[in-house]
Amino acid sequence: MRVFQRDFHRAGQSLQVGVQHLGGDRYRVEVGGEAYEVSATPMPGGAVRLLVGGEAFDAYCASAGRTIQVRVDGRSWNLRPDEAGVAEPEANNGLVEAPMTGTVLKVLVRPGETVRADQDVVLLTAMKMEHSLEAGASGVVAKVEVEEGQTVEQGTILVRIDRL
Amino acid sequence: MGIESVAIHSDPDADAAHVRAATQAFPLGGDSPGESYLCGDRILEAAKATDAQAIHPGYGFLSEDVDFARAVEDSGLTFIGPDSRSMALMGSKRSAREAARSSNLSVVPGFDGDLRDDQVLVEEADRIGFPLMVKAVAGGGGVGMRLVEQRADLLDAVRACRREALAAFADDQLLLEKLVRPARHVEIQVLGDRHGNVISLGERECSIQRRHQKIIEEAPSPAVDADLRRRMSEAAVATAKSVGYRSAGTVEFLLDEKGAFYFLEMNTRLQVEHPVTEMVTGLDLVQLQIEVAAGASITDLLAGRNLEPRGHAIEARIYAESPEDGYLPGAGQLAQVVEPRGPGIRVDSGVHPGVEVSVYYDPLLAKLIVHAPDRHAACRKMSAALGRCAYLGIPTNVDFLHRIVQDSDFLAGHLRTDFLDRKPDLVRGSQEPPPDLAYVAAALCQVLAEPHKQRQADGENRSREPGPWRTLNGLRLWGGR
Repeated sequence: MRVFQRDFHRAGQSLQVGVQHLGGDRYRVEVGGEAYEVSATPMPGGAVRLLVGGEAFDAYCASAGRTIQVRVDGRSWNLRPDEAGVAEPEANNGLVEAPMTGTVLKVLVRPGETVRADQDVVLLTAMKMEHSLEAGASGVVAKVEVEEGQTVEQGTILVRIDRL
Repeated sequence: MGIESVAIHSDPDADAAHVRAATQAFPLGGDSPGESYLCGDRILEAAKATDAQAIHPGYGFLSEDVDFARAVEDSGLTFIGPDSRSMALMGSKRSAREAARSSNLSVVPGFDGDLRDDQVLVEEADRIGFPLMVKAVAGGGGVGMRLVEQRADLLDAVRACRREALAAFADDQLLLEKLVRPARHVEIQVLGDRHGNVISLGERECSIQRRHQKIIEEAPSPAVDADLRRRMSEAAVATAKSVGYRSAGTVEFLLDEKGAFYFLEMNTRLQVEHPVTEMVTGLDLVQLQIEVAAGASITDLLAGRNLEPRGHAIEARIYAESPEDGYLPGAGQLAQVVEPRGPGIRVDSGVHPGVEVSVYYDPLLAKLIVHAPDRHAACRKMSAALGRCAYLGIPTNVDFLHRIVQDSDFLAGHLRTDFLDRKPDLVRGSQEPPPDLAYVAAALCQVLAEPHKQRQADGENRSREPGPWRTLNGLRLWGGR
């Protein structure tokens, strides 16, 4: 019985992940073209114990924003689901977003100003420290969306830049 | 100790670990530190309302605030720390340098006069030479502190330091220090009492720092032998005695490659990294702070005890931040918390599953401390313990810490304050895509969590932001076909 089917993005490519329940604690997991037979048992405290090819791993998993955070074999990974309708975040798209929730301390540019990609455009303060945010793209400042002193959520667009 | 405790807390901290641990809780109200933990008057009101006899200031906020310490003294309560006079002398980096100089200690070359005039500042900076450090006179914990490599960056750094210092300490005075590089950060834990005794409890090495904040500390230091320990201890004790110090405190030094050490500053409070000293001495520093504040003598408290370090202890600070992404802090809800347990493993944790990590405070989640017979074994134990930690739902530095304790230079004890600046690859981590195992794990965690999750979802309103798994529920991919 198929119990899970999901598309992910890995290294710029779409990756299909599917799980079939083979009975008891046995599952067949397909990751792209590869298939794995795995025993999986839920453990107290939220872990899932996996037995893959004779090796045991405790795995943990949670959503973190748009990604899925998974911890297995002593390392954490952020997996990116391929969501229909959600545009791929385009690199250097001219939008300066708040990388975390914080307060806008200073806006360092004005509309019409020409900026370099590595130029600081906004000073954000969060968790006691200041963080300067770069333009990300060279171009002309089209619009400043926030005011100094304003508290912004993670992902808020702060400045729009028309790329050159 | 049989003492009842009252936890004070801000609104976002109503469910915090210290509140859960205390006998009684007292809400201060407000979100930001300025509305809560920095309100000395409110804290004194809380003490009166709950019949408290003493106040332990912890290691942030008002712990080094002279006005607060004085207000506590004036109100007839006991401040568990130094008296306000020695705190005032040491709390300012300027007068602390003065006190160290008068105890014949070398201080880091620099300028600690009046720097309010930018022109004076630039002239003094040129005289000291670049690279140099700009530091808030009232600063600590890396706040209000910048490394300036070249003259062109000086004034920007100065302005940022002034802003941070004004916000954090309500004092924007700065001083300049020559950058001693390469150097180790080695500090001596001292303990004084109200009978004029001051002793050293040995050193901690805290060279592994990011943004001038320590992230891995250990005791003893791999660079300190018995003779150097004795000399640094004598210097630290002399400095502490010169200001009549009578509680737990830390004298910080820079130790250069030739074994010369320079006074940096004295922290007149318990340090974040105090557990490594506790592990190798077998002492409880908070207990000792309370005992000496109550008037006990160190001679009596520590009679017959051998204070030489036993074994080796390492502490790693677990922060809600992405070292791979410029140490960007992350706030949000911790979905899962798994902390390792075992012999020689201690976790001083401030979080639990479901807790909201707020943007208002320093992003320290927990401190992981290990103790083993020697440094090599301690590194191995730390590595294993970090591998077994899981803090999910927000970014953390756990994998980063794991990479550090597996690094060959770290293992060899080749530590220096710019260790991480010199290892950008280690900070960035591998850029390889996730292995198949990560997808196998994510898929099976989801499959096995699903029946439980759906039961929960029935009773829960669905107004929250849809996460990836929730979207998945909506598609009814599980068991629905």
